[in-house]
Amino acid sequence: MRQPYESKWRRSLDDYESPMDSDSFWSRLEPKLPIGERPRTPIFWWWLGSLSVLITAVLIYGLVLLTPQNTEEAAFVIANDKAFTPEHAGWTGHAEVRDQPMHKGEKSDHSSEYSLAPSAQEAHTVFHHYTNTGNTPSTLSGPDESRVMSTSMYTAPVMEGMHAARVEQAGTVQSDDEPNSDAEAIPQVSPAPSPGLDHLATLELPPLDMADPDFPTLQARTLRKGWQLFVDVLSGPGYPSRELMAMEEAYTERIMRRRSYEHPLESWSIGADVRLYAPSGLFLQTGIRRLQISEQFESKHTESRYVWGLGEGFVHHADGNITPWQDSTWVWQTEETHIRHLNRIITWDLPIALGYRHIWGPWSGDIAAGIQTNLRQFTEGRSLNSEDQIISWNETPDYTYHQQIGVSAMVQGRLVWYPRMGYGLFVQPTWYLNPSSRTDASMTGYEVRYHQVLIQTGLSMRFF
Amino acid sequence: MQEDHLIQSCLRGERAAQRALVDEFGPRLLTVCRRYTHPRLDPEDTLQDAFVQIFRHLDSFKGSCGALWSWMKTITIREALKKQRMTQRWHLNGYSFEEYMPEPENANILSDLNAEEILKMVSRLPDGYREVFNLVALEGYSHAECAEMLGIASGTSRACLSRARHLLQRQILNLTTQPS
Repeated sequence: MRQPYESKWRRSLDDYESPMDSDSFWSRLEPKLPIGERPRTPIFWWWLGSLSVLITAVLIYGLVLLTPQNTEEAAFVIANDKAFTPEHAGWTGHAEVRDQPMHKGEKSDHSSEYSLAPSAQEAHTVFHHYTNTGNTPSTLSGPDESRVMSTSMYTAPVMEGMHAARVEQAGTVQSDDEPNSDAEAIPQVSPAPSPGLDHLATLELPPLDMADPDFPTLQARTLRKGWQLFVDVLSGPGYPSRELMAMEEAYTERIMRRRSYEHPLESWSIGADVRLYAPSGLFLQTGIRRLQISEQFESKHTESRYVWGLGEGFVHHADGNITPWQDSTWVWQTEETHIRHLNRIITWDLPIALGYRHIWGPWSGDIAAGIQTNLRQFTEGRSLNSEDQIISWNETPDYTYHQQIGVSAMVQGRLVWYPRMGYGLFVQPTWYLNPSSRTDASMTGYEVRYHQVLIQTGLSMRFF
Repeated sequence: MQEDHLIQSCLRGERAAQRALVDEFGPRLLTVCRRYTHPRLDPEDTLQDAFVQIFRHLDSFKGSCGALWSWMKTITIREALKKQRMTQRWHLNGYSFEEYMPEPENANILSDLNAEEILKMVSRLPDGYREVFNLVALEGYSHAECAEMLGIASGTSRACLSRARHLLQRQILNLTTQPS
């Protein structure tokens, strides 16, 4: 309990201005002061820098290394199994080079991966895969030549001045009542012996005349528009920041002391997402992610303890005499300590978000927002001395995190590049927005809340 | 508002603003340093270190205008304690250990002391007692907080405060019994 005179002393001392020589004090202080504005932490910019490097690397890989000149893929034809099945009555067994240019609309079936491009130039630098699974009956008619299965798959590079191969495994003429009337343009071929299941028909074709105005140019549209389900696996580092909130003003000092010996936080996340895309580009995303934050506190300080030990000094007597004194007594002992505290906070996140994807060529970009449930599971850590020996692991109040279910908002963007049909590589920055009511940890007098910016990369795989 | 402007100018590294801040708060902060610093040490050295820390961390100050004094005072106290720990090694404690100390009998005399006299009396206390007395009795920290700041047990903090009060009482007693 405070004595009455102490309150008076406090007021008296708070208002008291000790005499000081301001000029000399300033002349000694000025050289020690930092010049100009204090530089901000470069960590966030470091992540932005790494992101730009990553994107640049992906661009270089996509635009330089996978150009047609560097691709050794030969033209080949993979025919529909049924067309090569000898037992099948309608197997034609003979691939015929089509000597007529394709016409617009010829591959306009909704399941086609490619459509016709407005100019040939657009097709020159892209390696084209195109597939026409046809929209024809799944059975071959055999003797009845009026009903023909016409299902083919094409894979062919298209380059300036050369059309290495463009083949078509064709069937016979469809009947007039078939919806795919394009098949009528394909000449009927006579039956031939089956090459067997192990064979693929590979044909060398004469170059096409690209100067021909009727030459059908092709444009890659890597992503078809329709209902799609993608499964993503992703991983990446994060830049978490820690917000310390003093519940009383007196604890600002404690927060500053903690900040003085904490290292920048590090985090890493792995996870899997499922995305369902609608034809409009909207998508629904959910998944699971494991997030780990690594904390490190490194305290180097001197510590005074009141211990029973040897005391020595002088005794001031009432008569003014001073005599030396030495005895066992309670004494202050000052000790230098250097301790590193390493902590890991592991959280499982269950996000659910809505977003929109825009496609351009083999690229797509999307943005999504939603909420995620955070299951903060556990924290573990250890304390090391200056020789990196484990000295303790105590769940001190400072490191005790609430093991609770929390909800936070998330905003994320994604840039995807599709090097293969149905596969995409992406980079995805995600920002976790924690509500102000959220508390990740607490200590007497202040609370801790974490914020996250994640930079994740991953692989996206289409299931349908 | 004026304080905000002063802070912003200091953050931009304007020397004039920094000087103004030193002129405005320096004398009062020097009083704080004198309370915590050992008589043999120069409190202005402590104040210099405190101002260096203040200017270095001024960008983290998010409080309102009125809170600047409290914030600067907290930093100054922290610097003073840090400096104190760097210099102190073994301290004499030649008094018997007693948890309970009676109330000072010279409360009126203690209340009538002026600031300089108070500073003199407080500075005569042994380092540990002085720190505890300043933190608990004058700053209003609890014993638990004080114990954490000084790295001691809470019971030790209580004992130190009792002894500090007792020593102050004895100082008053010596003053009053000395022939004028």
